[in-house]
Amino acid sequence: MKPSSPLLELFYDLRQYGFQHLDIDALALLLRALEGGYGLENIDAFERVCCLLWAKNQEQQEKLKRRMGEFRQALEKSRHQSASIPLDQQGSTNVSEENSIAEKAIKTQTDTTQKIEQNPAPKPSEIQLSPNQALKSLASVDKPEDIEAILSEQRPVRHPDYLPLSRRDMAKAGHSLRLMVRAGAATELDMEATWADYGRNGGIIVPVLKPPRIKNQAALLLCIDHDGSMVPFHIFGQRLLEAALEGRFSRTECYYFCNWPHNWLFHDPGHRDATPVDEVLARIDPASTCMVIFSDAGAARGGLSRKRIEATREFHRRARARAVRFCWLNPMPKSRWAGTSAGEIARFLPMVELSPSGLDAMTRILLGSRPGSPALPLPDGKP
Amino acid sequence: MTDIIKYTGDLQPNSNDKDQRGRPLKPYLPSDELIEAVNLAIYLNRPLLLRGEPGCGKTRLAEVVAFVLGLDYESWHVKSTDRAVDGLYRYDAMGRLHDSQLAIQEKRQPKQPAAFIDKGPLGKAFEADRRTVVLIDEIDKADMDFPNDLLEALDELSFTVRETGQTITAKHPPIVFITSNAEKELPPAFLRRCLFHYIEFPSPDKLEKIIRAHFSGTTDDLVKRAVEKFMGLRERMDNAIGGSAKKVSTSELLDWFKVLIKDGDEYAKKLLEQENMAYQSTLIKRLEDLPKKSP
Repeated sequence: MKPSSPLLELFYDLRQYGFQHLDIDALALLLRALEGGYGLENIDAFERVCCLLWAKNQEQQEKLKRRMGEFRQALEKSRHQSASIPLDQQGSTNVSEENSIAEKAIKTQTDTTQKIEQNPAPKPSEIQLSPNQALKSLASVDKPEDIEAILSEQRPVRHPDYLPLSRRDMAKAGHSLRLMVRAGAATELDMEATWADYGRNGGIIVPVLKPPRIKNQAALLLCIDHDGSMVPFHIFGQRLLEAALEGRFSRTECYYFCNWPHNWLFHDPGHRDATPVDEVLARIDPASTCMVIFSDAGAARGGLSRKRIEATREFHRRARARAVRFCWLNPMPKSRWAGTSAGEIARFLPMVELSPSGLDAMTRILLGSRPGSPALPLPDGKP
Repeated sequence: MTDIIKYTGDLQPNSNDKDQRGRPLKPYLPSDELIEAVNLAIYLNRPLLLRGEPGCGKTRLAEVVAFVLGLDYESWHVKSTDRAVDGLYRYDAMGRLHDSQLAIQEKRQPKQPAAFIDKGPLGKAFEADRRTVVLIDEIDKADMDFPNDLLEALDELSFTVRETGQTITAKHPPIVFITSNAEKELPPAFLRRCLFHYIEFPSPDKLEKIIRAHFSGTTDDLVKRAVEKFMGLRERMDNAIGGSAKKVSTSELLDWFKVLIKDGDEYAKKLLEQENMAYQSTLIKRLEDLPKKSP
C-alpha cells in the first residue's frame, strides 16, 4: 500500500535506509512535537526536528539530511509541474511508486501553501508553511491502520546493511559473551559473608567487604580464515571484528590464517607479520579467553580433505591442551557441512553456523554449558 | 500537564550570580539549534543527549538552563565505578551495621532502614516540589549496562528502594541533560528514548560574541584579532597529518584570552602581532601540535 501522507512516506523511506529503530513511538513523538508547534516554520525547521528526534548520532544526522535532500528536490521539481496542472487535478494524478515522494511533496505543497503557487520561483527553504495548514498535511496520520500496514509491509530493503546477519545481531552476541567478576578495592558490604561470619564468631559482627565494581573478564581471540573460498565472507569477518572491538572484552585479539590454522597466525589479512600458534596460546589466560575460529572449514567448495581435517585436529588439540574456551563459527549453513571436511571437523570440535541462533549457541558453548554443541569432542587420535 | 517552560538563551547570569558551589556563573551563548533542542526536550519530557568536541559547553548547558529558568539543579558526574542505582539512592549498609552495634543509638535508628538511604541526584529531583534540571555528565564512562538500567526510572518516572520497599514517584518530571564523549557507543534501547544534539564548533563570529560576553570592556578589534589567531591554530591542527587528536576548544580560547589581556589591551595586541603564539601553553597540550622550528 501507499503511505497516506508525505510524513509517512519519509518515515518509511528512512526505515529502509538504516533507521530501523524508527517505530510507532518515534512517529508519535514527532507528531507531538509538530502539535506543539515545533518544526513548522519551514522545511529547515522540520528537518532539524526530525534530526533531533530520529537521528541518534552524527552519521545518522547526515544520512537523514541526505534523505531530506531528496524530499526538498522533489518539492522544487513539483513547483514546475504544479504550475501546469490545475490544482483540483493534482490530487487524482496517478504516479508510479518511484515518484511517490515527489507526488506527496506536490500534495503537501498544494494543500498547504497555495500562496506559493502564485510565486514564480520560490526556493524550498523559503517556503513558509503556515503552521495550521502544514500541521494538517504533515501530521495527517489519523488512521493508525495505515501505520500498522506500512510497518508490516514487505518492501525491498534498500540500505546496504541488508545481510542475513545484521551488525546488531553480532553486537548482541558480543554483549552476551561476558564473564563477570568483581574488581577493584573492597568497599561494599558483603551481607551474606558477614552473616556467615556472624554465626561462626558467636555473635560478634565483623563486616566482610567486597569490591563493588563488576567487570567483564572475558577476552576474545578471533582467528579469521581470509583466503580462497572465504572471499565471499570477508564482509562478515570484518563485521565480526568490528563487533568484537565494540564489545567490551577485557582484551580482543584478531589473527588471520589461510584455509586452516597451521603453525603460524598472521596479524594482518595480507599475511606479512606472524606469530607462532604456540606463542599466541601461551600468552593468553585460558580461563577467561574465548577462542573463535571463523572459517568455512572446506564447506564452501565442498570436498573432503584429509590433510585439512588432520591439521585442524592438531590445532584444536593444542588449543585444548591450554584448556581455552573454543568455538568454530562457520559462515556456510549447517545443511552444507555434511560430506565435506566441515562435517568431519564438526565431529571433534564445537562448530556453529553464522546465524542468530548459531551465535546464541556459540555464546553458550563459550560460557560453559554446551547444549548447542553438535558433538562432544572425541579423544585424540580417533576419527 | 505542567506548564511549558521555554528557554530562550537571551537571559545571561550577572557577575554576581553564583553556582551551587559558590563560583560565579559565566555567560552561555547557545546556538538557535541548541535552544530548539532544549525546548523540545522539555516539551516532550525526554532526556537530551549532547555530544560535541571536548570544551564546547556540553556540561555547562544544564546549569545555565536551570539558572535562567529559575529551576533547581542536580548534577551527577558519572564515574567508571558508578551504577545506575547510585543516581537514585545509596544505601549505607555499613553505617547501619555500625549503628546497630552501638549501645546508645544515635539519631539514626538501625531498625528503620529508611534512615540509611541517601538520595542521589535523580532521586532528589524526583522528590523535589518543582521541576529540577538534572545533568548526567559523561554517561559513557560507566559500564555498558548503566544507561539501560537508568531507563526504567527515566521512563516510569519512579523507582523502588529495594531496602525499604518504598516507591518514589517523581512529583514533576525532571529535565534531563546527558553528555557523552562518544568513547563508547550507547545501547540502542537507551538512544531510542533520547533526543540527540551535536554541538557544532562555533563560527568565528559566534566566538567573538562569546568572548565579548565573558570579557566586557575589551575592544572589538582585539577580540577579532585574537579569534583570527585562534582559528589559525585550529586550522593548523586540522591540517596536521591525519588531523590532530585534540583540537583547541572554546573553553581553552577563553582561558587563553584571559591571560592575553592581563597586561592591558595594547600589550595584548602586540603579543598577537608576534608570529609565535603567546601563552601557547593554554592552548597546545600535545608535543605534536607545537609549531615546527625551522632549522
